[in-house]
Amino acid sequence: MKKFFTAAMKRLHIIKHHNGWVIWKAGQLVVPDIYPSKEAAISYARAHDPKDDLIVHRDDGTVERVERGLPAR
Amino acid sequence: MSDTFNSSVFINCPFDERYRILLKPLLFTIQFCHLTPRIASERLDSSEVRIEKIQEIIVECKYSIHDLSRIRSSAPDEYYRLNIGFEIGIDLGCKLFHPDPKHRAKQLLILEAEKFSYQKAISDLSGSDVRCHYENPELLVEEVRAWLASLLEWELPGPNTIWYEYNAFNMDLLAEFEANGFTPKQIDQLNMPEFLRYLQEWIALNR
Repeated sequence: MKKFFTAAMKRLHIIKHHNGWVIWKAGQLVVPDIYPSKEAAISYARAHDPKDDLIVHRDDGTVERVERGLPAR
Repeated sequence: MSDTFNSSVFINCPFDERYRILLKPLLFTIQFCHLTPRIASERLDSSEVRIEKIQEIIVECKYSIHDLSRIRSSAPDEYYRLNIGFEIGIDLGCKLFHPDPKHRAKQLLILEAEKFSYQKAISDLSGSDVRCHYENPELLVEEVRAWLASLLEWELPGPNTIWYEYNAFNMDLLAEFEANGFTPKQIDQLNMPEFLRYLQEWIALNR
């Protein structure tokens, strides 16, 4: 198994947290806010860092979809 | 042997497809808290008699988690499954009557999906502290982590950390197995020995 360290550093995870959604990256929350909807969290994450891959999770923690970030210049 | 006993957790749970969304975070939480989950499906040897394998695992585990989520049948004419209650009985019997006194220290966590539903099906457990996860994987992580924190001497990561790491684990699982030619459905239905092997390796590298 490879350690996906480099990949993990470029991933913003959108994760269910009780009644809302959080944005999490490489061991910590990107912002302490809990967003009321998955869409709100995705919008913030996209604006926060468009270069990162967005990993959108389902309620059960599995991966719903991956949205690739913009390539670095 | 004793070290293995003190760090092993027997999982007695349903094996239906719907339960998989709870079983995986349950296994992850145990492993993330430096313990070893043990489950009847951990090895696939058709020559083994199932109940003998379960007895062997029960004897080898100090801790056990029993999930009564399926004590009610879900369709007309469907039998509800008695295996979980039966195996709680074996585990309690082991704790009370095994000739080796170390088994008196066994610790059990009993879970259910609806609050107090167990009292209707196994009233002998009335008065026991049965915890409820409402079929919510995040709540399940919190309940299992809280139970382990009450028993273990070492400091455990917080429930949110475990839940977020479980989500990240799912991404790596998907990426690694897709790269090896698996479809998402095949990854979801990965057999237990393969899933446990990946889980142990991932946590050893990432915790």
